[in-house]
Parts: sequence; structure tokens; C-alpha cells
Amino acid sequence: MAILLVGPPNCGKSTLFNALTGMRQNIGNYPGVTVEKKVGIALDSHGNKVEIVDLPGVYSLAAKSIDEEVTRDAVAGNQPGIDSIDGVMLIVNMAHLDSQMGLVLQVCELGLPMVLILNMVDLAAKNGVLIKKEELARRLGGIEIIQTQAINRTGLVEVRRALSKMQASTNPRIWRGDEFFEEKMSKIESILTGKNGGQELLILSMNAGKEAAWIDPQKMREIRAIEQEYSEATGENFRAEILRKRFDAAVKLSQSIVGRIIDPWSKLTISDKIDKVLIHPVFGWVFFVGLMFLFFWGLFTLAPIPADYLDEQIGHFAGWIAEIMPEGMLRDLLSEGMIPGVAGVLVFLPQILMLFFVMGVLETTGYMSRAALLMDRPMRLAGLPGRAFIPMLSGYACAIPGMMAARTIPDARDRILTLMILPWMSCSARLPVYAVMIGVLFHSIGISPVYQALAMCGLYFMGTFTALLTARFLRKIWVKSKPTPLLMELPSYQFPNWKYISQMLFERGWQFVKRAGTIILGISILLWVLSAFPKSENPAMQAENSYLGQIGKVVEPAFAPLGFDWRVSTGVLASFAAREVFNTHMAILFHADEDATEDEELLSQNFASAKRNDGSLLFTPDVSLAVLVFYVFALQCFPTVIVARREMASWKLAIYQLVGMGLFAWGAAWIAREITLLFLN
Amino acid sequence: MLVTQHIQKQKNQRTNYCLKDMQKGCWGRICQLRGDAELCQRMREMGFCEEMEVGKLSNGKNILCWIGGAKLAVAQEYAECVVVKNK
Repeated sequence: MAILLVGPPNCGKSTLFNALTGMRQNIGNYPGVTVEKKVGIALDSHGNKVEIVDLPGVYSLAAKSIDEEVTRDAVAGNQPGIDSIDGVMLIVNMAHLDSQMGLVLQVCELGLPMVLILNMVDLAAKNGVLIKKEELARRLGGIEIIQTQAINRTGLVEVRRALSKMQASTNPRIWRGDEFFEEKMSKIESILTGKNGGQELLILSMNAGKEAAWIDPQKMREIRAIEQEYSEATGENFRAEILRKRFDAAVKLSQSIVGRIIDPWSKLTISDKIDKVLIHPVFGWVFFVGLMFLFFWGLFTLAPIPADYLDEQIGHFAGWIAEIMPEGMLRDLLSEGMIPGVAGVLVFLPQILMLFFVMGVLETTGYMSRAALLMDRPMRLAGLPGRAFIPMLSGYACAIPGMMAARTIPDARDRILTLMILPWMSCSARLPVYAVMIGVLFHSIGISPVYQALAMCGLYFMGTFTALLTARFLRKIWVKSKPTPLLMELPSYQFPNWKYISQMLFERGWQFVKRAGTIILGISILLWVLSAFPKSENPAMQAENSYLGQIGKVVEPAFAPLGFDWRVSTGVLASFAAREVFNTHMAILFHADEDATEDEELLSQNFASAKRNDGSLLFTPDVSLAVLVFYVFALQCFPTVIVARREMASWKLAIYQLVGMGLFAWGAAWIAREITLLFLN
Repeated sequence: MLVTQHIQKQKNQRTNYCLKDMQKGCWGRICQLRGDAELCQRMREMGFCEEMEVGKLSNGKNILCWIGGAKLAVAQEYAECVVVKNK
């Protein structure tokens, strides 16, 4: 038994899904949080298991973007993994029912058992929206209507009760045409009388002028002939007529069902008052830039407090290991390989959590849509649609969810352009490398959190600005069309959803720790083995004569113009497994020389004091800057390449992106180094 | 007769305008969507149906408006497709 959860974007589908199934599906107060179907098990009021399918939000079943196609195919019975549809839970925002009535009529016309859930009753009450519920149920053919407030689980008992007793509308199509129109309509209905007849008819009608690939070709020919007859007789497109009649019926129904007792002009809502500042052409930008700077400043002032504590605990653990274990290879592996390798990444957990905390607050309050609106103009100047800002902002956490969020961009060219430049948004995996290398860069002039925050801002800005410039360039020479203009709903502001944010922080934090305990640990062991064998007679030359040293010598010439020695070069290569491995790699290599734990500052000190064979410093300002610039631009993440291929449906584009970004990173790092050398000289 | 027609025409010109030209802080009723059929369908799906009331909150490159209880940001290019008459 599968129940589909259908509704417009940002109406609380995933919140209801989580409440029913106990799962922790991503939620947010902006359109496009869910981009693929999620399946969970809920219990109905009798304790029976029911499969619930959460689908991406749609304003209509005429799909325009990839995420909308998932929903359309699911309701049409063409989505792999959904064998049979036992009902549809249509959830709409009660405060916006009049603008969502078109979708209500479409779902009724599917002819499937259904229940209509009017969510966000609190918002409707605040906005003075009154709904004639009984009248609406009667007009829609006796379907059940439930009012809920999914976020605090109000109405959940009724929803569970409805899961096992959904009924199809007795009057699925509430609108009618003239006699001639109805005659043609009945003929088409009689052709589409299979298992999914109602769904096929509805989806067919939604795609004016387009073919419906899933309908039997013979049936399709008959339907086209009927449509042709109608067009010849009336001069109107049959499917366009259906759309017009349905929209007209939706408006009439809304006007008779929905009432408002508060005039929107008479009293500004809190959201309106906040918007007066946050999307103001001047204050909006001041807030946006201030917020970003505050975040980066926090990374260097607040995050080190728990990071220091974490480091202290790891230091105690390392000391304890050294005390209790006898000298030997196992102790070396633990104290020189595994502990410094994992700790070099793990101490950045507070920074990572802080990043996700800020993202969580932005996502759940409703600010994301405002930021997209604010950024629309610069984005369009760069040849990108304003909607691309949300995937790009998600890319600051990780490029993979960012790429998936790009599915909400309806135009394929806009979407591919967004995907091409998205990896230049500095993701959380770059953060540990940035933090350490900024420390190295500022080591000689004294580390001030303000300078570090400014440098960090600069790196994020560099990636973003170059991405925008590249988008403009690609738009001019490759895509050659204008970006799609903005048409977007701005949800009402909500208080940050602390429960969701804390859950997300726990999950992301756990993922990070798990990654440190699995991938990073594995790589640490591998790197230690490569750096410890074969054993050299001269301990001072151990690292250089090791397998790692030999690999480093092979790749060193490619990175020599950037000032990277064999150690940095192998660090760059190892980063393709995970960017933060750069810290792990350097921590292992420098551990033999330095007796220090892997606190960010000490790690920076270790790096800053590292020497080349000729005794000169390895990380001079020009080399440090080159490393930073290289990490801003290089696409060192194989999972991102795989996802890029899937989302762009092209290996060729994914490989162009990987190679192009690698070459660009090399070139940019070289230029940065040469310019720095000019200044230094 | 001609004078009456002329006055009526002038009246129509004053009362029917596109959403882009509508005054900030005013309400109107959508009387027509013009332009590409696919765009019109998309606009209707977002709530810009004929006979729906629309309130304009701000001007600019992207216009903010109220429709069916929802607040939407609409690019000027799209706002030009929405013909509105005085409420």
C-alpha cells in the first residue's frame, strides 16, 4: 500500500512525512527542499503499516523541471519503485488555498482515493483566512478534508485515521464544457479506460501540444484525431481549452470557498516588516554582507573554544597511548599515523557544525528565498537565473546537495550552467585546509581573528566571484540565451526550527566523525605505511626515501612552478579522496619532526616551520597563497564528479569540468604566486 | 456616438494595464494573461489566473505582489504579461 504525498513547494509535506514516519527527511522554509522521492513507513490508526512517498513540491502536474517530473510520473503510475498507488494525500498551505486550488482540482481529476490536508492553520488564522470546509468537501465530490499544523503535530491523529479510509471523489471533474466539448471528452475518456486511465487523461491534458510518451501509440493516434476534429470545428486547441476551463473553475471555487477577514493592506504582518529591511536594496545587502562576515568571524573566535577542548582530549588520549604501549611499529602507527591523521581533521568539527548551524537557521527561517531575490540581479548579470542562488548557497555546505537542489531550475541550459560552476562554492571540506593555511600565511605577521576572517571571506568571495564570471563567459560563448527571469514564492518568516537544526547538526556531525573514523582513518594508515616504508638507514631521510617520497618525486615537477615540494604535491593528490586529507597528510609527514598535537594553531605552526632540503622555509607567503588558491578552484572530489555526471547526464561535461577546474586552479595558483613574489621582491 | 466610444476607449485604457505599470500599494483584478502559452500556463499555476485579485507590494526589477494569500517575486518581463483592471 503506497500513499503519495503531493502538494506545492514549501507547504509542509516533508514535515508531515517526518511526523508520520518518524524519519528525518530534510525540511526548510524555501521552495525546492525535496528534489527526489523519499519512502517511509507510517502506522495508521489501527496500527497497520502504510508506505508513504514524499514527493517534490509542484504547483501543477504539468512538469517543467526534473524534480517536478518525479511527482508527475509518480501520480501517473510511472515512477519506478512505486508498484501501486493506494491514495494521494494532497497537502496545501491553508493560507494560500486560493492560489493552489488549480492543483487541488488536478489531483481530484486523477480519480484516485485522496484526502485534502489544509496545513498551516495557524498562519491561515493569523492572516484572517476562512475556509468553508464542508462546502469545499461537497464541491470536490465528498473527499475528506483535514486541517493540520504539521510542525507541532496538530491534526496528526485525523491524518493517521484517514490513511486507511481514503475515498476517491464522486465528482472528480467539477468543471464542464459545452455539449460538443463534452462529447469529445467522453470519447477520450473511453479510450483511456485502463488501470491508470484517470491519471493518463489528467497528465495528457496538462501538456498542451506535447506528446505523452507513456500512452499507447495506437490510443494516442485516436486521441489526436479527436483533438483535431475539435480544433477544426471550433478553432481552439482542445488541451488548451481543458486548461482554461480548469483554471476558471478553480478561481470560481476559490471565490466561493475562501474568505479573508483581514485586509492585507490594513496591517503589515511581521514578515512584511522584516522584508522591509531584508530585501531593501541597501539595507538588505548590508544585512547579507554583515551576516556573512559575522559567520566567518565566529569561525575564528567562537569555534576555537570547543576546538581547543577537543584538541586537549585528543592530546590526552595520544599521551595515554604513548604511555601504555611498548615501543614498536604499532605505537608508531598509532602515534604518528592514525592519531595525528584523524585529529588533523577532527578538530575542525566545531567549525563544520557552525557552518551547518548557520545554514540550518537560513533554511528554516525563510531567508533563503529572500537571499535568492536579493541576488537575482547580480546573478542575472552573471548569466544565471536568481533561482540558481539556492543551489549555490547549499554548495557552501557540500557541492552534492547543491547539485541536487539545482533540479528545481526549470530551464535545462540554466541548470547545466549552474552545475558547471557550482563546485567553486567553497564547501565544508575545504574549510579545514583554509583554516590551517590561513594560519600559516598569517603566522609571520601575527594572527588576528579579524584578519583571518577577512582572508576567509576573501577565499569564499574569490570562488564565488570567479564562478559568476565564468558563468557569464559560458553564457556568452556556449549557452547563448538569456537566463530565465525570476518567478518565486516568498514564504512567511518562521522562527528557526531548533529541533530540526539540532537533529541536522547531530547527523552532520556524526557523518563528519564517521568520515574521520573511516575514510580519513584508512587514508591515514595508508599514508603512514607509504611514508614509513621502506625503512631508510638515515632516519632524517625516511620520509623522502619512502614510497610516498618516491611518488612525490614523480609528481613534484608538475607542481614545482607553484612552489610545491614533493610533500605538498602528494598532499594535493591525496586530497582527491577527500580535500581535508591534505591536513592529515601534512600532519603525518610533519609529525616525525615536530612533537606537537594537531590543534589548528599548532598544525599551522608545524606547517609554517617546515623546511625544504636546502633549509629554506617550505610555506613562504607565496607558496601558502598558491596552496589556498589551488584549493579554492580545484575540483578534488570524485563523488562530486560522479553526481555532476548524473545531473548533467554527460560524462563528457563532467570530465571537462574536472579537467577544466584543475587546469584553472593550477593557472590561478601560479599567477597568485608570481604576483606575491613580485611584491615580496 | 463617436464621442461616447472615444470616452469608453479612454476609460478602458486607464483601467486596463499590465502588472508592471500598476501602482505600488494598489489592488487589481487580473483580466488577461498575454504572451507565450507555456508562460501563461506557468503563471496561472502560480496563482495568476483571470479574475484573481492581485496586490502590488513593490516596484523594481523584480516586483513583489500578493496573490491568493501568497507573496511572490515576479520579474518585470513576466509582470508585463499580466493584464490587470481596477478592482
